[in-house]
Amino acid sequence: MKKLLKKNEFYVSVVLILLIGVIQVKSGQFFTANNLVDLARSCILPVMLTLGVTMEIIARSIDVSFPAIAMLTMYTVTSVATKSGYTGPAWVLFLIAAVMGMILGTINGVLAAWLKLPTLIITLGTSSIYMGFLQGVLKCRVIAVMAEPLETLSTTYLLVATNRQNGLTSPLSILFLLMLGVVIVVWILMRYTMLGRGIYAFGGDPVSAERAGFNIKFIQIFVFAFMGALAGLGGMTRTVLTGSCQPTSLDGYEMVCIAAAVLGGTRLSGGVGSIKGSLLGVVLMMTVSNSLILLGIPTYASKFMTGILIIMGIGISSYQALRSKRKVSGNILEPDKSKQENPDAKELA
Amino acid sequence: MSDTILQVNNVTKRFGGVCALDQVSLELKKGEIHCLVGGNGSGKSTLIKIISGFYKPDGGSLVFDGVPRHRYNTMDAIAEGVQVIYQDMSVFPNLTVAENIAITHNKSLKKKLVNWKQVDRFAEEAFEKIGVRLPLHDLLEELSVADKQIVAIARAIMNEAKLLIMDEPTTALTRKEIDRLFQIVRNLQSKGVTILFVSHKLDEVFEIADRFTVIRNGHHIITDSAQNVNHEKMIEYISRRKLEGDQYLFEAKEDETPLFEVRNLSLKGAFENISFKVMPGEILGITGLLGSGRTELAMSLFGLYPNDGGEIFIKGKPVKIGSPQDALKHKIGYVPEDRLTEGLFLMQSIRDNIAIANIDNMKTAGGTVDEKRVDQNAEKWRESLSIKMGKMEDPISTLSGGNQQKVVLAKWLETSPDVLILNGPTVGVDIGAKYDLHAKIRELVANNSIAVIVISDDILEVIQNCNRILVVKKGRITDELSNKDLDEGKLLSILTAED
Amino acid sequence: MKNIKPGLGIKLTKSTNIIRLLLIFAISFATMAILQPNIFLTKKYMVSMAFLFPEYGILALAMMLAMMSGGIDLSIVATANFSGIMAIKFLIRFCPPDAAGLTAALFLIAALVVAICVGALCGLLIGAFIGKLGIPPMLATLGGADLIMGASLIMTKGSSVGGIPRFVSAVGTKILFGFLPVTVLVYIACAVAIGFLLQKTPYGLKLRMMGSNPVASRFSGLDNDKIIFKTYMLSGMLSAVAGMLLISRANSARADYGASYVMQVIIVCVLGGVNPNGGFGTVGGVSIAILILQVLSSGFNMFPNISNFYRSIIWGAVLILVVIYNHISAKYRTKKLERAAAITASKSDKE
Repeated sequence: MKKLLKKNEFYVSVVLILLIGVIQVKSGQFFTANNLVDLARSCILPVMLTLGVTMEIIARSIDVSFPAIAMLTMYTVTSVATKSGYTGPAWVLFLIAAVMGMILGTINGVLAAWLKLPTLIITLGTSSIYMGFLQGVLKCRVIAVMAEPLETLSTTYLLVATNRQNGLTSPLSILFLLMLGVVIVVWILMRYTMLGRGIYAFGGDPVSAERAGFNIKFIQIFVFAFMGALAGLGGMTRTVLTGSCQPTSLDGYEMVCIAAAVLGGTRLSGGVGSIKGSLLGVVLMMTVSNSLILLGIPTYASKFMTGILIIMGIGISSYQALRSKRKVSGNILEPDKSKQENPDAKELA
Repeated sequence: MSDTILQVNNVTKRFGGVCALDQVSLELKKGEIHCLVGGNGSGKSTLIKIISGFYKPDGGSLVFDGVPRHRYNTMDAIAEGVQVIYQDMSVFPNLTVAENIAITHNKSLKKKLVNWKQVDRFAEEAFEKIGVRLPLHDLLEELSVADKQIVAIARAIMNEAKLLIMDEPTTALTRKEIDRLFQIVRNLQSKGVTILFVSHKLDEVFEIADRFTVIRNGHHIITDSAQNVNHEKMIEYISRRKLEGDQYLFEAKEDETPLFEVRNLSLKGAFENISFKVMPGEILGITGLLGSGRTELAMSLFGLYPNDGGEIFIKGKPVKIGSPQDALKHKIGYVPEDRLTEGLFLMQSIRDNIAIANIDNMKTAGGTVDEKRVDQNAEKWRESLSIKMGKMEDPISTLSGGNQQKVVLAKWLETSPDVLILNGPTVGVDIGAKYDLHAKIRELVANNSIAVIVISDDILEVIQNCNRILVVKKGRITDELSNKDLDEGKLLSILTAED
Repeated sequence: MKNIKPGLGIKLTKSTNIIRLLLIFAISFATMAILQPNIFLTKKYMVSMAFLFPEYGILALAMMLAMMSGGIDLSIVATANFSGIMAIKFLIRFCPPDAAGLTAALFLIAALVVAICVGALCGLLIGAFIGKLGIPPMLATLGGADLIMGASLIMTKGSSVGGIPRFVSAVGTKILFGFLPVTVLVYIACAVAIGFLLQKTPYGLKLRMMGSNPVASRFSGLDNDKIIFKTYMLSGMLSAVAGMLLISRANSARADYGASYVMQVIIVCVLGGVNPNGGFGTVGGVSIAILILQVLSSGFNMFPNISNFYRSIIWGAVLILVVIYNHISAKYRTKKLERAAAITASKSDKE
């Protein structure tokens, strides 16, 4: 039980359940079909991006450039496809965006790994360069009508939910499946491949990881490259979901994703983070921002709520960590009664 | 077929001008439990690092399992079958027990995918070999030091260790955990693994070792069967060092007010019932083996881990030391054990390093820093402590260890302390600076107004410089002695006697 | 490289960092002047450049303090806007809209005091998150920014606050002697004050030391929490002043002005020699860095074909180049120091 209390995921789940309870009581609308679908829809993009951020933070890296990568790839691919009247399959466009994003992300990775530069500052720099390129060189603007395959995709739905009480309908884009695909891929990667375990090992103790034979430079570059690919996919997803290409719409999104990851138990110091936790973090943040109307809270108060969430969520675990640092850990006094003796440790005959 | 697993031949190693090992030879037989004994500074750590491939010897050679060693690096040594378990253990705190045991092995097999069932099976096999089992899915960071050690041993064994070296493994263990560790060691022995144990706890030698080797001052003193030696003889082997210079002998007057006194001081988990006085003119020494609680006591007196029971008196007045700020306010100074992380601001200037603790008292009438006074005082300490440096503005990282330590001392002397606690004051300090520091300490108590407490595990340092010595074991004071007629051997036997 | 004396960096001859920055400034200035002398060297242009300088500058000072303490302050813009909004609301409530002369001056001072107090409170809150709760500065100021900006949004209901008494923007746009905006004087005052604080007061030394090594700082008896509180409080107060400048120039108050300033200010600090790991930074370096970036970005404005957005590319590139340069020169310096230390050590062995 005590172990459970220490886990961030526990607190997040509790807050989530309480929050849902409050919303349902106040409005009776939480468990309606269309609200749930809206919620699911709003999670598609942040889930994809937050999982990538989680991997980076586990690998001791902070990345604030992925919204810029997303926007740059999204605009480039969409505008080229639209101008050239592209009529091929949409997934090809997604693939190109992912590859573009991967290349941009690799630049970050190389700077971080080879030159061993602080990742926050590097990605601030590349973010600036990518955005400047997008807005200055490419002179981006909103593309309201996109290439046909993308327009079609944006109205392709997995299901449409109707709220029987007020007739509101909410569609769930087929890209929800893309999100699920990303979750599964990341899950397999982190849990079942040595590369994923290497990311965890590196995050836990970089020196030991190197000694154990992991290629730590590759690991560092990989997490940035992978994030870049996810950002490419994310940018295209954003475009399809909103039905038009708005090149500056992801400004500031990095903080949402980092906050969701940290809320979900990902430690900024590295080595600790889980998919489950990050998913919970995203769901919590999206529930808050989506349900404000249902709670009667005006939209302009949503930032405030997010701020409280972040501080509370991180504050609790930070405070616990702070307090345990200030205590003496030891069993110097009682040589025959180990305080930390593991009751499960057994002697084999 | 030879039954020797390791042959060390006349190995010599120098660092700068200091000879850490001088023509040391050692032979380990297959399947034996061998204990390497020596005080601090004896060279035993250096010897271990050479065997593990971390250092290359300047002279001499090494033959492992019949194969002479040509290259010295840790990866090759591991491939040979040498596994070292250091005190920091190199485990992954964020991974589970099972994964920690299996990860290096699986990585070396160049696997791409993870089969968790195989990982569990691998870990179970390891536990089978050593005779102890831990829950497979606990996270390392939640385990005690003893359990972490078991994971490290399990991992080493599964990596086909022929020779397992353990560096001071019992330091942080309880009696029960030590028993468990020894049981594992015997299990390993029965499976043909040779074990080299480095320890300063003499009784472990008698308990577990087949043979032992004593190193002193970089020289091989003796190798013999554990049956042929007892406590007194062992002390003799380890401690034939002569004191350089004279002892600080002092008799305190009984009826004066103590400059510093603690009564029944205790801190949960660290120490209890600590009571002692420091009289004017005394240098009090507190010594104990690693893990005895002496550092926790030192830090508690400075407010880093405030005590939760007992009282502290400075010049007769009771004081509460709840934080380092309190300590500073009551004029207690603390020269820490690890100067690099705890005592120095490496990239900052020497001048700033000296000024920082006392900076609030160096103000002009207007509230700004009195630069002139700061500079003057820094120069004063440079002279009085003979600190060898370039310019005052140079970063302190440019100084040698001894001179850095002098700066840390200067920082505290700047505060005109009433109580000065020094924890391991001459660790990693060259002989000249060591002498200077000891001379300065004696100078300080000559005016009868500063209480000086030296906490150290360097027995010679304590005997030479402290007129009264307290021995700490397992968080309690067990002996109080005068340094008169005390030599290294006697103090060592008191330190290592089982209570 | 000699150890830089922090603060104003007045001892210029000793500081190679400042000299290097001045050189870069001179080159940038000269380049722009040569390329477009008719536009660049006009008084009008100089003055327009000077107008943008102070807002950045004061925010950069705020960020510098946070970075020197070993942290970072991502909430400076949020605090700036929030303090400004509170001050404006105060004015709208209490000050007659056509006030002039002495009344105006008094109200202006009162508004400034209100802003600075609000800024200080925001800073104290963040300081509590970092010191008392142990939240890492990046996350504490990130969450704090959301809280503070959220508060602004609630107070303004998302729209801008108009109806600001005329004297506010009058002061904000006033030019003395035909070329010196009043706001530049405000910056100079802040810079001098912070420089003084860093170089001449015990707080300055404590800040640098704690930023370098918080463990040794605690072991030396310093109260780390107090230093953190003071630092973020100062940062908040400076942000508040910057907020007032922002509002007076825009003649309205919004919750989301200057969103891009945070990143630009970080670039300025890193360029100006502030070490993001803590312990080092000078007002002089930061000031020159602002001038350099100001010259470069305004310079691009002169060319109609090159849009503003090229600025971002330049700044991003400059940041990365500076970080690379710092990294390489630090490695070189460490090797030099290690060699020197080895020599000293062998010397003392022989004695």
